[in-house]
Amino acid sequence: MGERMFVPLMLAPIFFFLIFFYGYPTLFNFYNSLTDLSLLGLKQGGAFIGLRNYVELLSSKDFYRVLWNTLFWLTAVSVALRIVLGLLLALLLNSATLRHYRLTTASRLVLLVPWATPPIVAVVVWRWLLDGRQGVINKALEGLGLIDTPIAFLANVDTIWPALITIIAWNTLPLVTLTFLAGLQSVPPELHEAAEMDGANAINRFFHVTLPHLMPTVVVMTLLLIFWTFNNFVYIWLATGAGPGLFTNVLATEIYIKGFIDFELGFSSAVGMVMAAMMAVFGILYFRFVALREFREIL
Amino acid sequence: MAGLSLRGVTKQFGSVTALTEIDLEITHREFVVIVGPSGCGKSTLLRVIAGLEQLSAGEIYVGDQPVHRVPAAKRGLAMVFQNYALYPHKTVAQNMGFALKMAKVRRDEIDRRVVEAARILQIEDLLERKPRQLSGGQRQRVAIGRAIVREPKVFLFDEPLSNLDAALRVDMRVELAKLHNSIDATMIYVTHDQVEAMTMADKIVVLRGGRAEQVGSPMDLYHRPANAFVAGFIGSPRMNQLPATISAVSSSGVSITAPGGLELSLPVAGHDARPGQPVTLGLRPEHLTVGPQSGGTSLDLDVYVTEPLGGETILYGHIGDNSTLVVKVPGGTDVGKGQRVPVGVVPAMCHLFTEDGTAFTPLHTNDKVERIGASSS
Repeated sequence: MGERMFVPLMLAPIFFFLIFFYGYPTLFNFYNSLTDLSLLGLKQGGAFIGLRNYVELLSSKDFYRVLWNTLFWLTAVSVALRIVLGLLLALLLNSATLRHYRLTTASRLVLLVPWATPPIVAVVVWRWLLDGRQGVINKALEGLGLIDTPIAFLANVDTIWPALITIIAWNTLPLVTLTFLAGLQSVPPELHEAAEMDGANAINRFFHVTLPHLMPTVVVMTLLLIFWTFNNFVYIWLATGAGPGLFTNVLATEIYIKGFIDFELGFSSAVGMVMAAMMAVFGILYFRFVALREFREIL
Repeated sequence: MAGLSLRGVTKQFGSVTALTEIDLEITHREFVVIVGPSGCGKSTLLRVIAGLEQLSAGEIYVGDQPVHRVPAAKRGLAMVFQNYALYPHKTVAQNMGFALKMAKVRRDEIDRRVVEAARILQIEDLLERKPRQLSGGQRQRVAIGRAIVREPKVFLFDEPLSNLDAALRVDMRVELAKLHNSIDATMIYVTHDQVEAMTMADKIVVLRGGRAEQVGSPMDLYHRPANAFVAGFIGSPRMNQLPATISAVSSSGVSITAPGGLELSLPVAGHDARPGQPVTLGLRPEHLTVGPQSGGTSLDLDVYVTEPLGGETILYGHIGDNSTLVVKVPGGTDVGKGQRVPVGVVPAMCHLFTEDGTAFTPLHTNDKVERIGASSS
């Protein structure tokens, strides 16, 4: 068999998979977004209404609050926080001090605990911890005299986003840290020694040796975190149910609420399409900064 | 520019002693090569001098300044690493100027010094490239350039040529020697390659097991090795070392019996030697001659392998009770496998070592040894 046939044949299964499990549902969803399909009228189907769902969505003020919640709080803040904390934790775990006290293995095992916790369990545990009446955190803060009255962290509009981000960060930070740690360990030690001979102090060495070496990892990790977080449904829905009211509503929860609570499947599909378009932008960035470079290395 | 002095330098890693009381005086402009087999502590010694490892005991002086408590960057030394250790994301110029940038030297001064170093090393057209776009030899030059730019008191080289191919290594060896002449610098160079040591050094330090076995000029080490280890390490092919027994001791030397019925009277100081004492006879392959002997002592060699190298031929053969002897002869010599040939031994060119390896002191002067050595090679 010639190579001309062999390559497409080997690629055929993945294309088949993509077409039937991604291509077809996307097109079907796009069609639905152009109808007034209701969850209660699945049998008779929806009537074609053109772009009316999109017009309604893009002209509603609520949509922009949801967008802000999704882009700023859920994605930007939580991703930036995890990148910075992950880097700091990785530096700490890689430090000679930790090695000196033979804590390397122990610290890495401890680090894996949050990661091994399923999101559902993590959220439930944190809801108890953050509880306004019985929560350990409130008890501790009161015990320390830092607060007089308990704070309902997951209901108070001032604390709800920080509390949500804390839960997300706690559960997913280990992966970020371990990835950075692997990157740190691949920095050739003689580069640090050369920099030391060149008169670079620890801070200079971080910015001139460590960080440039880690930069590709940081870029990939940032984009992956954006992918995983931007369309995440679990944490918000389980922790606050998009509330109080719709205060913490994000795109993923908006799709669910519109489709399965308000029964407006057509409108919900339109939200989904908008969300997919935004994901596509991140996808293009990923392709541009990461995948393309890898392709070039292979080809 | 300055000399360097090590006094009782000792380095321990936990319970392992890597360096034991190394004493070394290096004068200004000297090219010192630290040589030894792998694991002998030569890289550790260099790293201790550089300040990348703290010494456990002893003192290090650059000029008359004690530096063993001074951080690496402030010792006024520059190091060239075995794997070059260039900063991969910086250009050649940025790599070379980094130390000056850290020292907050003015921008135009940095540029001037980088261009000057690039000119010396003939890498001016590479200044804007990244290390990954360079060949091994070019990276090596950049690494050296990074050291030159700092105008250090002492250059430290950690096996800098070991990653280059054989031809390039010879070229860079010559370049380094030229560089040493042109930039008026003290250099300390670590290698496991005795050829590099012999060809470049003003002074060689032979290390074994963290101890300095001998310190001296290349010719010193070649002609007057302090012990059997140095004798075997310096010189190629290796010195033949045959078991022998002392038969007589007199004021004019020591007589010995060696394999193959060899009876020799060597002009070395007998001191504590007594007849019957087992010793080691050292014969350099290049100091043995093949063919009918006009005088002196000879023994029969049963040749089993010949290695013709063109200009010279190496003969491997058995003598007497199957001891192996290696002989280096001129290229044209007509000796084949399986032949038995007479091999001549000149007593003045022989080395004698006690059982623990210490060399017997020759009775004749240094000059005479060098003269004979020169005439026979």
